[in-house]
Parts: sequence; C-alpha cells; structure tokens
Amino acid sequence: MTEVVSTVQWYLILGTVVGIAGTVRLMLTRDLMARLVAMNVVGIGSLLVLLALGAAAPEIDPVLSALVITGLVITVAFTGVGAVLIRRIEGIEDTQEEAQEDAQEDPQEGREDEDGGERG
Amino acid sequence: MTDGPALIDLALGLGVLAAAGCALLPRTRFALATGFLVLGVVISLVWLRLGSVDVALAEAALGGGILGAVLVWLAVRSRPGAASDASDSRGRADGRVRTGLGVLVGVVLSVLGALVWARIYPQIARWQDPVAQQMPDTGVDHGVTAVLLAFRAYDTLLETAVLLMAGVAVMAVGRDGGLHQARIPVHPLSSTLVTMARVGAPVLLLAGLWLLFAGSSESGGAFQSGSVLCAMLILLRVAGVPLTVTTRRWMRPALAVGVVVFILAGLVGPVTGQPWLAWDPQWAGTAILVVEVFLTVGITAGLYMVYLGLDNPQGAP
Amino acid sequence: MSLTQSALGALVLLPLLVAAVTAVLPHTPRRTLGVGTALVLPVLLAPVLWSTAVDGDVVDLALGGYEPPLGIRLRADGLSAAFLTLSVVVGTAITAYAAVLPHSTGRRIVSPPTMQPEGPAGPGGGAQPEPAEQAAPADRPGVWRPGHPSFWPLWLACWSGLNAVFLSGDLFNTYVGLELVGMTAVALVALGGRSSWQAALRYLFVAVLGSLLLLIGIGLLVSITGTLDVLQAGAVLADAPEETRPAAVLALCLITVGMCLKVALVPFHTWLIPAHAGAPSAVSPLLSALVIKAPVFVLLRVWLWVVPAGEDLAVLTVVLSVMGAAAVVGGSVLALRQTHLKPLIAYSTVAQVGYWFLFAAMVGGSSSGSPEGLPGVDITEDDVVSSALVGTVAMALGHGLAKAAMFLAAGFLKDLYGTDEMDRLRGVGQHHPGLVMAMGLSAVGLAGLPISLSFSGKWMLTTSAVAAGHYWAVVVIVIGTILSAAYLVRAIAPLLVESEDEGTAVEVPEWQLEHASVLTQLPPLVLGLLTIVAGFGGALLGDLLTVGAPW
Repeated sequence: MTEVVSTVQWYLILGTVVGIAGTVRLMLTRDLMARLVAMNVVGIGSLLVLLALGAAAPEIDPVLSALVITGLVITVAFTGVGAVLIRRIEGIEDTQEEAQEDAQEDPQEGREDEDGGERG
Repeated sequence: MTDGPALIDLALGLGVLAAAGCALLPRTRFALATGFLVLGVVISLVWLRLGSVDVALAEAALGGGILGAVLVWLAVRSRPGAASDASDSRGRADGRVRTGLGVLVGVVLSVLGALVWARIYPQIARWQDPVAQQMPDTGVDHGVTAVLLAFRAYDTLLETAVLLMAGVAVMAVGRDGGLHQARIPVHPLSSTLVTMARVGAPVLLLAGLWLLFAGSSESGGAFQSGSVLCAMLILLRVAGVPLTVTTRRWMRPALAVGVVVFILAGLVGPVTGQPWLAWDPQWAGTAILVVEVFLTVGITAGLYMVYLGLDNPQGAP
Repeated sequence: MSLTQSALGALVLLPLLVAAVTAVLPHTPRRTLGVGTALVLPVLLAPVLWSTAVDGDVVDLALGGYEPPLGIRLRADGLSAAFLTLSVVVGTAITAYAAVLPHSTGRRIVSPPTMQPEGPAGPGGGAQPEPAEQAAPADRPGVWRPGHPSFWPLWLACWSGLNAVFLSGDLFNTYVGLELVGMTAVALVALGGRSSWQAALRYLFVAVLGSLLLLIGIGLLVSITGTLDVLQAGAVLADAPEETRPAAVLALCLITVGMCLKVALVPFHTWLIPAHAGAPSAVSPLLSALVIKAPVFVLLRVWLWVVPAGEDLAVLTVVLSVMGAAAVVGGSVLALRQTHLKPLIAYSTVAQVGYWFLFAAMVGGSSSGSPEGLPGVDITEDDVVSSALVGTVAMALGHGLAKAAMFLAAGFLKDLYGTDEMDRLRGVGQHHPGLVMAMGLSAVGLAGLPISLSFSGKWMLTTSAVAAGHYWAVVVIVIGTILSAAYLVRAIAPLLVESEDEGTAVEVPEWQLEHASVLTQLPPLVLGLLTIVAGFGGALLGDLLTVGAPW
C-alpha cells in the first residue's frame, strides 16, 4: 500500500465521478435530450464501476463481462425508447393545429381528443 | 508505484473525464451527441484496457454505433429552439444557484465515494472454478458466450425480452400499429454518400455474420452481431434501397422470433424431465447456435425498429 | 424435476412466450391469448402455493441444471408466494377487464380513412386497419382511436417480469427482471396517448436511474461475497470480516435509494402522479397495485436476506422511517386537495408507500436495542422484525387489491363520462351500484378499517412498533388512517349525491350506459370483495411468511 491508489481504485473513482456528474446533470437540465445523454453517462459510470470491481482478478472474469454486456444492452434499449418519446413530445407542438382538425373531422372521438388536448 | 495505475491508465482516465464533460456540458444538442460519441470511443478503449474484448466490441457497436446514430439523428432533427436551457422560465440567478448546489453535492458525493473505494478489497469470484469445470458441457469454447447462453441463459432471455419490448413500445407510440414510418420516404442524400453506403452495407453484413459465428470460440456474439447488422439496415435505408415491403411484412415476426425460439428451446428441458433451459451436453452446442442465430434476428429487428420510430408519424419531419 | 418446479419456470416464461407471440398477431387473437394466459397462470400458481403454504417447503429450481454460484436459481419461499399470489389475482382481474373493455387500454393513432367511417368505433377497436390505410396518403395527419392493441404484449411481458422478480433467487437476475417491468411499465403509460408521453419519459428517467443504483449495489455485493445468489451472499455476509462491512453498507444504501426512486417514496414521488393518473384505465391499476410492489419486494429481500442488520444502519433506518412518515402524512394531505379522481387515488398510493417504510424503524430498533425500548416487554428482536414484516406485507398486499379495484372503478367512470373531475361526476353512482360498492369496499381496505387485510397489517405493524418502543409510528398510523378515511369519503361521496345544479352534471348517451354492462363492473367488485375477505387470511399470511424466513 505504498502507492496512492491502485489501478482498480483509479477506475472505481473514475466511474464514480462520471456517474455522479451524469446524475447531477440529469437532475439540473431541462432539455430532454441532454437528460437522455446524461442518463447514458450515468450508465457508463456504473458499468465502469462494475467492471473495475472485477478487474482485481488476474484475468477478466467472463461472468462479469456478461453482466456488463447485459447492462449495456438494457441501457441502449431504454435510451432508444426515450429518444422516440422525445421525438413524439417535441412533435406535439408541430401538430397541435392538425390535432384540432382531427377533432372536428371525427366527431365520435371529439370528446377524447378534447380531453387529451387539455392536458397535452 | 508498483501496483498503481500505469501512465496509460491515467491518460485513459483523463480522456474519459474530458469526454464525459463534452457529453454533459454543451448547450447545443449536436455538441452533446458528438461528445457522447467521443465518450463511447474512449470508454471502449477502457474496456479493452480492463481486458474485456467482448464488452469493448459491444460498446463500440451498440454504444458508439447504434446509440450514436440515434442521438445524432435526434440532434439533427430537433428544432433550433428546443435545446436550450435558456428558455427555462426560472431566473438566471436561480439557475446558477441550482447549478452551484448540484455541483457541490456532486463533488461531496464523489469525494465520499473515493474514500469508500479506498477501503474496498474485491474478492475473487466463487464461480471461477465452476466456470472452468462446466465449460465442456455447454458446447461452446468462449467464456462470455457460455455465461450468456448457458450458465446465465435466463438473464439473456429476459434481456432480449427487454429489447423486444422496446421495439413494441416504439411501435405503440407510432401510427397504424407502428410500421407507418417505414413508408415515409427518406430524404435524398448526395450521390457520393449513397455509393459509400451501398459499398459499406455488404462489409457490415460480413462483419455481422462473422461476429455471430465467431462468438462460440472467440469474442463476439448475438448482441454485437445484431447491432452491426442493424447498422447495415440503417445504411441501406439511408442509401434509398427500397426496404418498405420487406420491413412491413417481416418486422413483427423478426422482432418476436428470438424470444419465441429461446423459450421453445428452453421448454425442451421440462418436457424431457430436466429443468427449464437445460440442454443435453451432446447437442447443447447446436441448441446454443440455433438460439443465437434467432436472437441476432430479434436484436437486429428491435434496434432497427427503434431507429425507424424516430420518424414522427404525423408526416411532418 | 417435479411438476411444481416446472410450474415455477412457467410462471415467468409462459406469459413471456405469449407476449412475444401476441406482438405478431392482430388484435382479436391477442385478447384471446391474453385471457387464456390469465386462466392458466392461477393453475400454475396452485402447486407452488400448495408447497409453500401447506407443506411449508421452499420450492427452488436451478435453471439449466447449473447450480449457483454459476447458474441462476428460481426460489419461491413464503415472501415470494405472497407477492406471486397478488400478481396472479390482480393480473387476472385486470386482464378480464381489459378484454371486456378494449377501449380502456389506451389510444392509438391511425391513418385517416378515406371512406366514411363505418359507424361508431366498436369496443373491439378492430385489428390493424390495413385496407383503410392503403387508400390514405402517408402524409395526411393521423387520427386518434380508443383502444390500443399493444397493451397485450406489453402487459403480458410486464406480468412475466413481475413474476420473475418475485421468484428470483439471484441478485443480477432481479435487476434484469426489474428492467423488464420498468420498460413495459413506461410503454404502458405511453399508451395513454399524447398527454401521457411526457409522464412516460419522466418515469423512464427515474426507472433507469433507480436500476443503475441497484446495479452498482449488486456489483459491490458481488465484489465482497463472490456470488450473486441471494442466499449464498447472505450467508457470506453473515460471517464476513469486519473490513467488508463498509462496502456492504454502501451497497445497501445504493440499492435502497434506487428502489425508493422506483417505488416513489417521498421526496421522490413527483413522477408517480402524472404517470399513474395519466395512464389508461386498464394500466393505472397495474402500475399502482403491482409494478411498485416489485421494488418493495427487492428491498425486503436485500434488507432481511442479504445484508445483516447492524448498528451502522441506524442513520439509514431513521432517514427511511422519517421519509415513510412524511409520505403517509404528506401524501394524504395532498390527496385531500385534489379535484380529480385519478390524481387523488395516485396521491393515496404515495401515502400508502409511506406505511411500508415504517418497517425500517423496526429493523433498526431490533438490532441495537432501541433507546426507547421497554425493558419489561418479553419479546425478542426477531419477533419484532417478523411481525413488522407480516404487517408490511399484509399492507402491501391489501393495498394491491384495494388500489386495483379503486383505479379500475375510477378509470371506468373517466372513460364513460369523459372526465374524472369529482364535481362533474356528482350523482353518477346511481347508474353503477356495483361500481360504487366496489369503491366502498376498496376504500375500507385502503383506509385499513377492520376486517380488511390492511387492518391486520396495521395491527401487526402497531404491535411491532410498540414492542420496539417506536410509539411515534403508532401516531403516524393513526393520523394516516384518519386522513385516508377523509380523502376516500371525499372521493366517493359526490358520486352518491345528486348535483343540485343541473347544468354541471355530465350527460352520457343511453347506448353508452347500456354498454357499461354488469360484466365490466365484475372485476373491480371481485377485487373489492377480496380486499375484505383476505382480512381473514391475516393469520395464514403470518404462517406463510415463516417459510424460508431468515430467522
């Protein structure tokens, strides 16, 4: 224990800093895409911590690698859905007027459209 | 400094910090997306440095390739006003206080975290011997593949289901059951780009297949392969290759087939009096290969569906 | 390899298989398959419940034949069986409701038809409208229609994920199961149409952040125990050397914060209101009754089975129980101030979540000997924790049944009358006696009045709190009960009282009222009745939870 930090601890600290920075940004920003990117940065930080914890072994642990791949895939899936939702939310403003036309065009659904429009 | 981080570790670490800054701090969406792409590249190098080629490949293909495409797409299509924090209704001073407070809390937490890590002594995992002993029963030679498709196949099944459900979710917020977007014409690109895309697609196809079949003995596998194949589909779409009919007919079956085949293969166990997802060592290798091929189809479809879903269904870009 | 063990795997994999298949099919067969699954799952649950409740055995299954620490073990003990039963009962009722009333499953966009629309959009909603869409140009704006076929694959996969979490004997597998639940829950919220997308996205951010915290916590636990199996990790930590303790405590903190995000404990509750109130009628009950139970289950598992109690957890337990108390009081007060039915019920969920966290005080108090402890009371520490556990689980289950009934009824009214504003719904109760009765029964359950299951739960929790010397918890429970009775009366009373001003009352066409058949009122009524009937099962629950208990 003569050195300040070991390699493992260096990556652990790195993962922590990246993850916390991402969390702070996620909470502070209002821009939806900045939040989505920040969420991914938190994901990278967590996976870095996870893999660094396993790097203590002389060679890389296949189980830990598999876990990190699983975490990565799941984060990507959530990011994709988040990106599509952002596109839809920001598309709302573009199509607001059209939506009102729809309500007139389609009298049976008019009630539900008003309902959606009030809060939308 | 016998066991301390080498120079390359320090350099990589600073690179990660710088790239993370680029992905978090900019005010324009395009800069954010670019910063995230850079972070993806740097972090892939970190995975390599930590010794995991499989994770590095997955990061490059999924995190860099597919996510990069999605985020850049999102940045390019956003209206200019959408990205700024300046439109925040709260006052600027209030914003500064919030930012300052956030950064302060972040720094405190980071220091606390670093202090705790200094007291952590990771143990050697208890599964190291069993992994080595049971590898021959799985029919594959590569450790990560054996874990993903034999020892912890159940996790992989649920994870693929998450991806399938991401595809279903994207379809659910689309029009006419979600495949309307496939009919929206692609904006014409310059002819050079189209040529490049047409040349690149076969290369990606080969790379994807290689990753898939190499997975049983070397690094690679369904997830890496699926994302490369999805990148190929995206390129073809950008290049204006007509995929509409194929997409509309095959998207849903392709999405579901991975999970369906996986569960049906897992059902062999209970039918023959064994646990779920148990395969006889004699043909376990074949079973894993079949499952992996169909998983790749499902993963490709799920990722491609997410990309298609980025087009807004009302017609206006 | 017994049939019971096969049933264990099938509880997760059957709904998942059907979910994948339904993603390919048109709407009507989706419904049929969904109902079929809902009929089979109770049959699969029966042997598992029999083994745990009657024989008192823990059922487990090493998937793929690979034993832990290498493989993943499914494990059904008393706690799993209790939550599984909730998932199957509520899930079946809501599946029936969604099958009878497809327009309760959300709103979808379709291309505008070129011909005149063929009569009122039937309750079936129709399959993919292929012929109409071919005639319509792709660039014409779409129109909204009630009913969303994507409900079926999403809900069935969500059901599978819930069962996966409740059956998981492996830490990482718990994370993956929670992600399946999270992904489908976000998508189910988004089925509500335009107005719910913002809420869905917010929910997505919270869900992912919570999961990542859980993931780091699990990584830490692996690094000090070398195993992912819940029981093995618990055994290692029980005699772990002193120097690994900080890591275990940090892991516990991370997991707890992550799960508090997902369960919407005050002050992390703001995402829950728009998500649960804005979701479609068939989805809100699922979210409130089942989805937030998954993180609660994970918390109970990790606190009681994995990380041993210790004096160093005192701060954490105090913080959690204070947050719980704040949720009970604050959530109830906010519920009282709502003008719309569904947000009121959503705030009631926030308040109920608080009760489950009073449990933390008992865990903290039991280990170190609470400062306020009564020296004369002859009750062991394990007794305090076990009766607190039974009380908490009883309240969580009681909440699941009652809240599902309540949200189903509220959603039904909102769909029918086009609003859930309480002032405008005055007097509508006379058209729906069964529905009002269901709401009344579930209100008894939510407030925790005798003889409901929540009452047994509150009783056990109070006993435990008194034994541990935490009298403040009793005060919180009493205040919470009074406030909840107040907001529930506020929710239900207007439905029974005719509006004096005719102008404000909502009118519904006669054909729609006829459509509100007896069949649609049945699921909420059955759930409401179960809330009360299950109260008699309080003692059984106590016995069930001793199966595979950590003490």
